[in-house]
Amino acid sequence: MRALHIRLQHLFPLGELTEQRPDLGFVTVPAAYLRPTLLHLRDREGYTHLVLLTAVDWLEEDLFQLTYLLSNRSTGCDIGLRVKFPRQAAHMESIHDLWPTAATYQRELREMFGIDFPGSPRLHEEFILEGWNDIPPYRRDFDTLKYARANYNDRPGRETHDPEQHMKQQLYPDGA
Amino acid sequence: MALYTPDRSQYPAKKADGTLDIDLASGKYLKLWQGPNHPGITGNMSVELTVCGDEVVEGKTHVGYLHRGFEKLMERRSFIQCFPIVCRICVPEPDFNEYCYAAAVEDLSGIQSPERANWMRALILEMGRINSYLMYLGGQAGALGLGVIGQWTTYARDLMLDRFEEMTGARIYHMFILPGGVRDGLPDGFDQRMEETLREIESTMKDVHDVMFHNAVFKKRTVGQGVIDPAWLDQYGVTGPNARAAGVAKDVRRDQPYLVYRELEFEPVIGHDSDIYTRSDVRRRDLLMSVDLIRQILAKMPRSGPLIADMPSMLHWKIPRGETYVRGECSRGEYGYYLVTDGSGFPRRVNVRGPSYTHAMALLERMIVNINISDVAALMVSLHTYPPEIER
Amino acid sequence: MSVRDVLSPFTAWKNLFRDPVSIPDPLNRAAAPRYRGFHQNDVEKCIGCGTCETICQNGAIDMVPVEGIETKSGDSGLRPRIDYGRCCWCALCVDVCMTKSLTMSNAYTWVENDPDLFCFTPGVDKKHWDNAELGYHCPTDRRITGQVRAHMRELEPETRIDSFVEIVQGYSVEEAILEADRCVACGLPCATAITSAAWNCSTPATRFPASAAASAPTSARTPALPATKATRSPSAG
Ligand code: SF4
Ligand code: SF4
Repeated sequence: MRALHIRLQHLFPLGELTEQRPDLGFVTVPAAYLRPTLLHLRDREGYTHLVLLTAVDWLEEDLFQLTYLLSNRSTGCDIGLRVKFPRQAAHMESIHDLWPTAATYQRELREMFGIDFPGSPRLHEEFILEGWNDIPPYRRDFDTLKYARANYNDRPGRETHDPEQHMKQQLYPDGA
Repeated sequence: MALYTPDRSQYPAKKADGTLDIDLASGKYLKLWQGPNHPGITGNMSVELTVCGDEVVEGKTHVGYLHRGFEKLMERRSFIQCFPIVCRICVPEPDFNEYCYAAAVEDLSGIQSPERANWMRALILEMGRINSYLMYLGGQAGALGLGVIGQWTTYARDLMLDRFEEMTGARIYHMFILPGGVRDGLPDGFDQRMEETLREIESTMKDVHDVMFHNAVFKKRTVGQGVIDPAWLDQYGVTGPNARAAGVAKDVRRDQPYLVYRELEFEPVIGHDSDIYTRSDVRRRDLLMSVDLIRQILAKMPRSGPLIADMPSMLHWKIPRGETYVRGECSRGEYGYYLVTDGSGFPRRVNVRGPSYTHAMALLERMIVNINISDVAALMVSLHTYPPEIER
Repeated sequence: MSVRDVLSPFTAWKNLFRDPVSIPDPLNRAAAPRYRGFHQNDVEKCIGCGTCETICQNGAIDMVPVEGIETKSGDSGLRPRIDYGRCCWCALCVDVCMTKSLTMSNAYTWVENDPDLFCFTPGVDKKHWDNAELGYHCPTDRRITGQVRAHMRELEPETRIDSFVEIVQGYSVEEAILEADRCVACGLPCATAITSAAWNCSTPATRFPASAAASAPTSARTPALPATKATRSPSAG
């Protein structure tokens, strides 16, 4: 993993390697170098299997992170490429021509995170959510609980008591 | 062996962007929805077919019928609270969710599950694999009208559910693999009852072999049908039996052994023709291999020792910032959890990588073109997809 | 195509001469001894701490006052009421129960015309499985909350005998955090004036936030601030 990282660093301006396990590392790649890095890994280093492509919302840092996880079956190693970009400029180059299956991931990311991948096939077709009328739901600022309260009903007759408050009330009714 | 010769003159032309130019008003094409409640659909998924005569010219997979937003729900639950909900991401084989989630949490928090727990985990995962394959065989045969196979395999699966029940306390959602270890050891007399169950499954599989795999009709409709080109494996992220039937021995248990698979003797089952028949056969042989693995596990597993690691109080358990990916070989291929933590008591992001995600979407949409409507059910079942892991 | 492929399917007919494999009396099939069935609660043992409510990720548990159970020191007088419309029988509430009063029977059939009856207080609303012996009980050697008290060092008797030094040595910062980690923040002792004046149990680890943060990345046993009640039932979504 380290050797690979050193080889890659000669070619691309990569960030530090986070070695999670001996066979799994994560590295940050500038958005502009994503495609050449992916191509290099796929064609020269044997990382031919795109395991997954997903996003992480770092709301506090105002960043989106895309994780491209690639696997090399012959060495049994995985490398995750992290690409970070501001939440306002939520778009990324599409890689559906490198791995056709990436189009599905990108479609889901557009729907769930609102990240745009210009040129990706059928990107704007609804994937899971039909008739969704709120902000993309997997963004951190989407509040599931609030949405559920506004759109669904709780079963009537449910109420709970906080043990501490209840005890205070029972034992010291006049707030001693 | 293709059963018909399509008349290519009727094919829709391709537009500049690669999509098909389908003019429904011309009367040459017809939209047909297969699912979400068509018996040939494994679970709640549907395929929107555009057909020309009897032949499919385009197919689009539609999911979302059971989206519950698990990945989002987990962001609001503490690490222990996520444990009971992950199993719902795959109904027939829920244990991989529990295992991958637990392993990811352990990886990030630096906890080692005890040796005995690892054996228990391997045991339960192999039991789940058998269940999943049994369900698949019934579905595959059913998609071609062989209803009786489903009844036999359901019986065999029911016996395995009994073993699950006595071991884990539940039949379907076992909720047994806690982060850190497992809930309990084996009940008394389990080995013997397991052996009886395995024998019964083997005898059922013998019948299945005679009636389903040595069956002129089944062969006629599956041999040479639905071929996955080995070149597609990387393009479409094909894993598991779908890849092994294409001659590539992709098996996480062998490639990146987890749990106790290093200590077990097995050889990944492979096939070469990559058609529906071969995929069914690979799964049948894989099932028998799991039977053998269970025997090995029961013979080798330690019977005493801790079942769960020394854990922090799970009520306020925080995990330092980090990210990891953990995978296992489930009955359909590579199952994995990508977990990101941010130092709080809740996961920052969980992403479930189910094998069906690629199989049922991009791969199926590619393979479904040019086949006969009556073969659609057999084809999609042969990819062995479970919709909940697509939409989570 | 071989002759075998044509004839072999007919072997299915042999099942005509086989006994049925279905369960003859499905209504009275007993579940496995560790089956996670309907809940039982020993209301005498339960102290109404509400930890089961805190951990339930489905928001199925409410703490409700129960007639005949007085609020007294060490007992809030509340008892858990479970909404079976939400419960998924994960048994986390059983695992976490401080007093081991909450358990599960192996009963799994319960028919009722009124759906509201499935919201019930185990142990208070009498049920046919209340005295069932079998069912899921948390194994004694497994805990999901720290339950072993960190040992507090004391001076050796030889030293004590001729000195006035404090015998009980107290906790180091790490030990104190570990000890505070066991707190389930039930609030019961805090509600009673004496303890609340002497020691507010819901905040000890906050006194050492710096050390908690410093030791976090290295230690598997990550010390943490006690859970607040704000984490309760985040689950309606
Ligand atoms: S955790 Fe146990 S003791 Fe506490 S309220 Fe629940 S049942 Fe009662
Ligand atoms: S079994 Fe699980 S879902 Fe049911 S009340 Fe207990 S914690 Fe909640």
